[in-house]
Amino acid sequence: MTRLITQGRDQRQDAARFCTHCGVVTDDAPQRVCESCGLGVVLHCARDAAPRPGASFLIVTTDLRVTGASAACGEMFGETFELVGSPLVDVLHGDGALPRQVARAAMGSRKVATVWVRTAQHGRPFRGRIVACGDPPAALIVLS
Amino acid sequence: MSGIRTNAAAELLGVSPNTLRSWERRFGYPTPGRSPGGHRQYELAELEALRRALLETHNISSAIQVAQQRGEGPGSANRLLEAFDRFDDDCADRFMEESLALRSIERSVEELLLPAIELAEERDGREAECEFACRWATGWLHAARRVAPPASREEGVLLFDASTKLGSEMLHVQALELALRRAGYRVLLLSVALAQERVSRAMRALDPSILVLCGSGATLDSVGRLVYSVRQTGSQAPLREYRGSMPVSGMHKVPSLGDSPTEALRRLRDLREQPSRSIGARAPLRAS
Ligand SMILES: [Zn+2]
Repeated sequence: MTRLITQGRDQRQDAARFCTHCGVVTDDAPQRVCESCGLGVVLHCARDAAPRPGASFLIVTTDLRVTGASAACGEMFGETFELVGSPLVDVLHGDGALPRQVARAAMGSRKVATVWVRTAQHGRPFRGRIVACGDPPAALIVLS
Repeated sequence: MSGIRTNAAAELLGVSPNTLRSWERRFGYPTPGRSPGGHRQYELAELEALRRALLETHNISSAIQVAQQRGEGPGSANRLLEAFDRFDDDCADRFMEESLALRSIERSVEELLLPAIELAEERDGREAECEFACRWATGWLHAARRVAPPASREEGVLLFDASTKLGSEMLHVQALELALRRAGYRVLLLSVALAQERVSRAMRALDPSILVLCGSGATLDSVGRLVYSVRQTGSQAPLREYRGSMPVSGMHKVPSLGDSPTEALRRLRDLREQPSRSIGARAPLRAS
C-alpha cells in the first residue's frame, strides 16, 4: 500500500489545494487529509477561485447533493443543521439557473459562475462563487 | 494475523498518529485492537477500506461512514449486533467464522463477540435482542470450549463466578474460562454462592494453583465465606480478582488478573516466571 497523497503541485500549476473542512490551502503538502485540522480532505480547484481559510463553502456533486461543508458553514446554517447528505435545494435557494450552474461545475467546467443565494436560516443574500473541484469531481460553492 | 502499529497505520493513510487517534475518539473509527503491551494495533482491512473511502469522498466523516459500511469485515462488532437484532444465529455464527479465518479465537472473542454483547446490553428497549445475543454467545463459547485441547499444564485455575444474571459480565467469565482451557490450564468454574462442602470437594479434585474471583455481584460476605472455605481445605493458593469483581479495595485490595482473557493469561505467565510469587509455589492468600 502506498502513501495516500493527492497529485503533486507540478502536475497542476494552475490549481490550488484546499481543505474541505478548514479551507486552509495546503499547496506544498501532498497528503489527502488536511494536516492542519485532520478533519477535511484536500481537493483541487482553480487557483483564483480557491476559498480562503475560514471561509464558508459547500461541495456539491452532479446529483446536486451536498457532500462537504466547511467548518465555517456552521455559523451560516446553524451547527445542528445536517448539511452533508442534504439535497442542494434544501440548503441554498437561488434563481432557476443555480442547479444547472452547479451541475456544470461538478462535471468539470472551467467556467467560474457567480450567483446570489439565500439560506433557509438567513434572510439576506450571499454571493456564491461556483467552480469545479475534485477529486472526485464536484462543484465548490464559496459563500461570502 | 498481527495488527499494524499506530505510526505505520498513520503513514499508510498519510496522516499524523495524533490525527488517527483523534478520529478514533471523535468517530470511533478506525477501531484498533491492543497488543499485549497495550499498543494500538490496526487492521489492514480497515485501513485499506478507509484509504479508498478517503479518495472517494469529500470529508472525513463521510469517508469513515463509507469505510464502515464497506469495510465492515469480520472485525466489526456492529455487524454482529445487526445479526442479533435480526435474531439470526446463523448469521452471527458466520461472522464469527469469518473472524476466525483472520485471527485467533481469543481475539475474535475479545474484539468481536464481547464488544457486540456490550453494545447489545447498552441499549434501552432491546431486551429481547440482548437476551438472544447472550444466549447465542453462551452457546458459542460452550461449543468452542468443547473443542479446546485437553489440559497440558499442571496448574489448575479455580474460577469463582459471582455473576448473578445472564449478561456481558457472565460472558466475560466464560471467555476467560475458554482462554485458560485453550492455554492448557486445568480449569473449574464454580459459583461463588456454593456451599462450603462442595468447595472442599472441588478443591480436592482440582488442587488449584490459583483462585480467581470473577463476575460482578460478589458481596464482602460471600467472598469472606469463600475464602474461609478455601482456607479450611488447607490450600494456600493465591487469590486474584478479574475485571474489578472484588467488592472491596484499599487495604484489602486483591491483586488483579486484568480485564481481558489475554491480559489474564499474560499475568498468569508472569506469576509463573516470578519464582518467589509463583502460582506453583502456593503463596498465601492475600485476602483473609
Ligand atoms: Zn483542514
